[in-house]
Amino acid sequence: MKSPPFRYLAPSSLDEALSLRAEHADDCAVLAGGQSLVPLLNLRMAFPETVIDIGRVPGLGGVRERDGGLAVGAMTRHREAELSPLVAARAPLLPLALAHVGHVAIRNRGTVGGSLAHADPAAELPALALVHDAELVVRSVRGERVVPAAGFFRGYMTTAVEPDELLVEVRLPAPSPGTRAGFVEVARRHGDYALAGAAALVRLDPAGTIAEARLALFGVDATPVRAVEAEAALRGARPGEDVFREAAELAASGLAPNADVHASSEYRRRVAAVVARRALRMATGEES
Amino acid sequence: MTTVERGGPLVGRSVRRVEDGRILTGRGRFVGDLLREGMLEAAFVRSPVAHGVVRSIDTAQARALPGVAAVLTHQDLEGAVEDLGLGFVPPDFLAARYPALAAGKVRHVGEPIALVLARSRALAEDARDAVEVEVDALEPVVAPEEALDPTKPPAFEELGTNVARRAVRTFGDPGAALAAADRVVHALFRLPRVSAAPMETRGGLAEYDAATGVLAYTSGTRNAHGLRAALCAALRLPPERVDVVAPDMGGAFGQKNFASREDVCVCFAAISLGRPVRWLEDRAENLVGYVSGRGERFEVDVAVGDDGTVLALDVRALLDQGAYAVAAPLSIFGTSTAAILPNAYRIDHLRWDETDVITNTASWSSLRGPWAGETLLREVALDAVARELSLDPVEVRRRNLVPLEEQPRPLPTGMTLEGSTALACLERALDLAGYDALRAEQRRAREEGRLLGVGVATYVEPTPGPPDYGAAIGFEWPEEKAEAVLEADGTVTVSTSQVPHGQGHETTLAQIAAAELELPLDRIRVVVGDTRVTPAGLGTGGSRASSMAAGAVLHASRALGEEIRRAGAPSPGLRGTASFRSGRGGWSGGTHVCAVEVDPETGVVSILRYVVAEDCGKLINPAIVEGQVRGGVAMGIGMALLEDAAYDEDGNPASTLMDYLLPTAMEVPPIEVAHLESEPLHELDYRGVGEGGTIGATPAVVNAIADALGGIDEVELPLTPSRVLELLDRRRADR
Repeated sequence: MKSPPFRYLAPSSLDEALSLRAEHADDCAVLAGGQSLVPLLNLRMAFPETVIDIGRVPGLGGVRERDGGLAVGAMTRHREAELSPLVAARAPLLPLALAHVGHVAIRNRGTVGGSLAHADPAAELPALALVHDAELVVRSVRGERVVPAAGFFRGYMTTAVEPDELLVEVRLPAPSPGTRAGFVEVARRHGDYALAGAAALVRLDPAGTIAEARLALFGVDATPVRAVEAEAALRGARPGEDVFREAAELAASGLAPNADVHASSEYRRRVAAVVARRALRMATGEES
Repeated sequence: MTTVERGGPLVGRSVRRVEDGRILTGRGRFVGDLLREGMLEAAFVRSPVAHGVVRSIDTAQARALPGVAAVLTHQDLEGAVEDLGLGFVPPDFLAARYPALAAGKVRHVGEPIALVLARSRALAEDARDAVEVEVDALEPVVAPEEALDPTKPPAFEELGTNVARRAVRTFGDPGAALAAADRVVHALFRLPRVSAAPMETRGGLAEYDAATGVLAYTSGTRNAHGLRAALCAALRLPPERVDVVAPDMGGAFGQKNFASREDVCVCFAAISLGRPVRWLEDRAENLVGYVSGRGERFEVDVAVGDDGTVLALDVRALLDQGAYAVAAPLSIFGTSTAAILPNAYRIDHLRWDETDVITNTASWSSLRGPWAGETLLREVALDAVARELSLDPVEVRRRNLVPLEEQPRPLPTGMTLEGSTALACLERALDLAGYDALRAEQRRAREEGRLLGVGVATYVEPTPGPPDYGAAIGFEWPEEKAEAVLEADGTVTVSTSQVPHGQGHETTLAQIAAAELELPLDRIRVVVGDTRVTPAGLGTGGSRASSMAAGAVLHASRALGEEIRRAGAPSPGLRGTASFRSGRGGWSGGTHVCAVEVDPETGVVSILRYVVAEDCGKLINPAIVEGQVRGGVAMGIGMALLEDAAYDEDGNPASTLMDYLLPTAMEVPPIEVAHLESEPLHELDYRGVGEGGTIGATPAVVNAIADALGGIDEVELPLTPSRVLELLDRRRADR
């Protein structure tokens, strides 16, 4: 299980990384945490001519506050984001979700940017980017673009990042006060990719009805799914089992989940409704 | 010399393992650590299809790649390497011999076709990918039921069938018992092929010294002498020209007990090229191209009285051998499974109808508790009996287990049950688990709509088993030999045919010798796994050999002690030798109690509680015993919930650990273990415990889930969330 041969480049600045990326745009892979790329190489499922290791590029990691929200550098290790007090305060969904990403050893190396750029449909972070309406900042020698999450995940493991671009940062908006998070995932084993998962953010108004609800599902389609119909049904409703159930059914209908050795398509669709309901319950104050 | 009570405190103490210092500090020497000047690394070209005719193998491009020394195919081996096959073919068993590298036909995905030798493994893999193999694919037979269909193509044309063996055996009068029974309870089991998945996969370093004509093969094997004999036969070399040494090993769990085709090829390459050759198997090869275990289908009818008495078992067994017969034939294990099935119970009538089939899948080989199907089918069927009769499953066991007072008692299959404390283990496990409280909690939970289940599994295993075990299965394990030699520096070297690969024999056998000779532990050196200096035997396996070896070491040490006394002084070179098989009894056993919660909306199973009460007699090293029990339980849980080679219809199994799911620390609950340490029946009453954890765990978990669900008609493992949800749907529909 040895990787096929490739050219290894380790730029020491972002400018150098971007010009190398442009130069090798037609056949290169970017090495960040390596938790997805290295197995693909060793299994000989990927044959990039060039691998650009951005681990030595300064300034790509770290969490900072931005306009009341967060700016998370692409090279921020999962574990750093998971343990960051700033993240816990401004994006409580993140530590909830990150606890399900592999195991601590994997999270010590894997990066937030890597997970988003890899865009595995069963991964947690792409769904979180979607549910937060995050902005993804990509750069190339041509300049910088800001891509909204809703337009970032294009298809199965395909994002808006062009072959000459690097994802450098993800920005989360300031949370509305009173917003609570709910996160539920079903997997074969702890840390495995989800068979179905849901991330929810709910804010109640002073009268106790739902002022705002956001719901994203993952593991259930080629990309993470924002359950807009469910969100519409929740707006203005009083929280309760029936309301959650109806919203969850709306979220799950129309899904076309993959079938594989771990679960059938029907199982994933059915459990999608269950995790959606439980995430909503969690986000309105009751533990699932 | 420190004076220590004979048989004194060293035995029974959890002394730190002798092996651990080097292994835990990275100073262990595994095949992967061995380097030789001029060494070549091997990579095998393997069949991409499950069944086919090989039209051509083009190695020209591969041979031209940088760093490639040679690419060998069957043509290079012809005339120099004998075909491989079973060492012993039972008379009623059909098995074919086959070449070390595929010639003409391929019969499972992953079968070795060509061998690349290069400067590094990476370069060898580049060359491997450049070898062009043309194969005309044939229809593969993947599911064992398909092998019964005579219209399907046989894997071996010369056998003309995919049925290797059909044997119907009757013990007692099961027909009469079934006819007279108040009720007959039916159960069906499908167990997929599962992988032993040792942390260290196969490997070997072959070195040929042209000056002496000696081939030295350093390889992870648990049977050094057996491997040497097989290499001698395949390479046509006399035993004095082949040395086999087992280095440190990272587990086997049933693998690594025979000479595989790759071993033979690598050794041939070393001789032929005159350079050391090292082969390190990767995980994909181990999962796909080597061996796997289980692969059983059992249909069982249990004849019972209304009072819960079990009268007879009628079992139809379909056992999947895979493509090539390797090591001990599957039929021996089928026979063992039947022989052990009545177990610790008063079950006097048994009909065993077994069909062993050939399929286009990896070869079947032993896997921790290879006969464990008997406990799975019996213990789960007993719970079905309990549900049918509205009895507590524990009560059914109490009514049928043989108490000590009734032993010795013959099993209908020819073995003598003696010293079985199965009933005592049952009561101890129930007490430790707080069984009544668990049932009360279950009732409360049901009112809340939560599905809790409690499962019990009781078993004994013949490790080493009674003296009539060999006759009962038609195969006698040879006696274990041991030798104890006094060295010039006052230390004692103990040599054994055992080849530990995680069991801690270097420690436990030293404890026995040290206690007997009244020496400190560090004055004993246990030598293993080297054909030059250890006695011949079958190596380590079946949990029998270790217990037999313990007896041999005790006697050999005692004999040395007598020599020393006879000589008047400890002079170097004095030695004691001994052989031992087993004495009366020899049954290890236990009861597992498992409590689970099943999520009714997702089918996810959580294990809430896990308790084991085991009895393997006197513990040599309690920490090692507990390690074996816990590890065994983890493996049994894996097989109940997670593990599945998952062959698709084209014969491709899971090839990575992302698809073949092993339990991690997050999936295994805390396991409470109680030891009964029943009184030995004789001085050498050491009993094995390496496999019992696995044997008891799978049925305990299955029973717990079945209990939560109110019954499972067809047990198909693993009980994935998807399957559990389907079973729940069926239950709800039935109501």
